[in-house]
This record gives sequence, structure tokens and C-alpha cells, in this order.
Amino acid sequence: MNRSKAQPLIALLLSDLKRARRHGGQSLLPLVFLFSVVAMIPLGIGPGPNLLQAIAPGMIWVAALLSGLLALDGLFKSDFDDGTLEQWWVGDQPVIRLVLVRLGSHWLITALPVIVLTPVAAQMLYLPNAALGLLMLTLLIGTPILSLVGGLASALTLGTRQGGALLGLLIFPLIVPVLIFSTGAVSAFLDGLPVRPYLLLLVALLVLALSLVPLATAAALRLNIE
Amino acid sequence: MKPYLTANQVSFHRHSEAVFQPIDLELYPATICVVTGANGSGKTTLLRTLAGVLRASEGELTRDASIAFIGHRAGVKDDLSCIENLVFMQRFYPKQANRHPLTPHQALKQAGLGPYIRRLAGHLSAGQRRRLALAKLLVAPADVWLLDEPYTSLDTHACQWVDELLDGHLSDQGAAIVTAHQRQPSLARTLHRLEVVAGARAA
Repeated sequence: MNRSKAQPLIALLLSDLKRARRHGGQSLLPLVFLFSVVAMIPLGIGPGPNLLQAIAPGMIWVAALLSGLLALDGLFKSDFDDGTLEQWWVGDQPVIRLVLVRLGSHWLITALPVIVLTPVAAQMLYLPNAALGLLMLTLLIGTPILSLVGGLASALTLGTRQGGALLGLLIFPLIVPVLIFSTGAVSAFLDGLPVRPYLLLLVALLVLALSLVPLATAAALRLNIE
Repeated sequence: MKPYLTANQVSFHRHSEAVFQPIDLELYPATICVVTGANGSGKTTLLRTLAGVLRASEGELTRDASIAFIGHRAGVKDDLSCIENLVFMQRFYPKQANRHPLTPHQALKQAGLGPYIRRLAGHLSAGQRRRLALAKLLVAPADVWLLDEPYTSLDTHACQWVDELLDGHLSDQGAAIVTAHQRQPSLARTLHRLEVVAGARAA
């Protein structure tokens, strides 16, 4: 891709990041959610290390998923409202690439901080250090899938007024496999079983989402603009 | 000379009903076309179709030029400052080799927003926001300007500024299509007119 084609994409990425920095809450909300869940679980079910250790991968993953869902609200909404979204179709802009950039910046803003602070959450739930790397790897592969699927759902619900509930209904069935394979990988590792199949399945899901979802998202956005 | 924009029996259907009667149009360099029509006759829809935001449901539409479209919604980010908005626009729209962009600073001065360079667009008045939106035409110049009600919420002075912009653009081999309700562009040039008539139901 030559420089002149990449320039609009870089411009969009930079402006997204700048705006996110201006409203610090966008990155903080998922973190606050993650740590609320992680801090409350021991209070709810008792602080026994064995029990916590067993549920740690699942709990962290569920918290990461739900916190990602919280952040999906503004993905296209503000652009839709202020008229910058319709500008994506003016001229010969590569809309699918713009969609990918938007999803990428959303992932950087909301998912990356969660992944970076996962070691802290893992410590709080007594996850063995040996499994931490694998958990973070599954998050690294899995959260982009969440961003992609969430982006599609938020594009589909753009025109509806109370899209939040619908958003959840749309996303959960699609994201369940990611949760199953991710936590399955960590559990298998803790039981001394091979983790490769789980990871390969996750990567396959990511490739599938990366290749199909931006197309569908661009089409859904267009429908809402019309 | 080739037309920048050619529409041949173009119409747009919403819920399988034509929004406006099919339109024929050839837009040549250095011409301006004013779109008129009653409320709800589909002026905005026509402009959005010509811009490529909507896909023409019928007819043939060829664009042989770079397009700048300014719609009802200003396309300005409230949480960016004036200058940041223009810097973004300059980078976002592909550069045109035949056009010479102003720097964001120069454009803001021209738009009369010089004192508000660092003010967030969300804190501007409606008229100032419109000026900021129009300043896009200076930092990201295009051959064809599609302006939907550019005079809305502008004061007399700013309206004259828009006329000057249009005049300069036309002298520069540019072309423009403008929808105008109350104020019409007042230029010492021929204004071509295009009457839009609401579709199916009215017919």
C-alpha cells in the first residue's frame, strides 16, 4: 500500500487515539469493570486459592468479554451522529480499510489495557504464573475477534435507539466459541494436556472474523446511512 | 471538455419508492447548479446520491472528478479543536494534484475562525461550526463541491464569504451543486437550475 493510500487510515487512527486520550474514561471503563469483577469474586465465593485458581481463567475471560461489550457503544455512533461517518463513502475511500482501522483503534483503546493489566488480575485470583503467558496469548488472539464481532453488531444496531440489549444478544452466541477455546486452552495447560489445538482453533476464528466481518460491517453501516 | 459529473435518469428508492423523479444532469467545469424544490422533494437525497453516500437505485451516474460533500450534519468532530479538525480533514481526503490546498491555519483565518484555533468544535456556535465545515473545502480541495444548504445559520458576512468561495472555485475550473432554500448564491455568473420533484407518490 503506497503512502497516499495509507494516509487517510493513519489520520483516522491518530484522531481516534487523540480523542480517546481526551476522554480518559474510554480506556478506564473496561479496566474498572475487570478489576471490580476480580476483586468481588473472592468476596462472593470465599478466598480459597484452590477454588479461585480453578475459575481464574474463566472469570478473567468473562470479565474481559463483558468489559469489551461495555465499550462498544460509541464505536460508530458519534461518527454517525455528527456526519463524519457518511464522509467515508464520499469519493473513492476504501471503506473496508477504514472499518478495520476503526476496529483496530477501538481494540488498542479498550482491549489492550485489559490485556496489559491481566497479570495483576491473575495474581489476585492465584492463577499459576506458568499459565499466565498462555492466558494472555488467548486474550491477544481472542479480544480482536470480540472487537470485530462487536463492531458488526454495533454497526447493525446503529439506527436503533436502545441498541444496547440487542447488541448483547447479537454478540454472545458468536463469541461463545472464543470463550470456550480460550479458557479450554488454559484449563488443558493446567491439567498438563496439549494446548495447540485450542490455539489453532482460536487463530482460525480470528482469520475467519478478520476476512468476513469488515465486509459485513461496511455493508451494515451503509444500510444505516441510507 | 468532459463533464465532471454525469447523471442519466438517476433516482434513489427508499422502501422501493422513488424519493425524487429521475434526474438528468451534466456538470461541466466552471459551472454551478442550484437545486431547488419544495420541502421533502428529495434535494438532500439527490445530493447524497451524487456524492456517493447513497447508491443510485436506477440510472447511470459517472463521476470523473474529486468530490467534496458537506451535508446537513457538519462532519466536524466536537471533541477536536478547530485546527485538529482541519488537520484531520486535510489528511483524510486524498490529495488532488491539480488543486492547491491552504494550510489549516490559513483556512481558519479565511473562515473567520482565527481567534478560535484551539477551541473545541463542540464549543462553537452553529454558524461557526458551519464555517469550520466549509473550511474543509480549502484544506482538502476537490473539483466538485456538493453543498447542502451551505448558508444555513450563517450571518450576512459569512454568506458573502461562501459566495466568494464559490466564485473563486468556479474561476479555478471547479464546479458546484448547491441546494438552497432561502438564500441563493449571489454570483455574477449563470446559475444553472435543477428542479427536484418528489417521487412516485406525488406523480
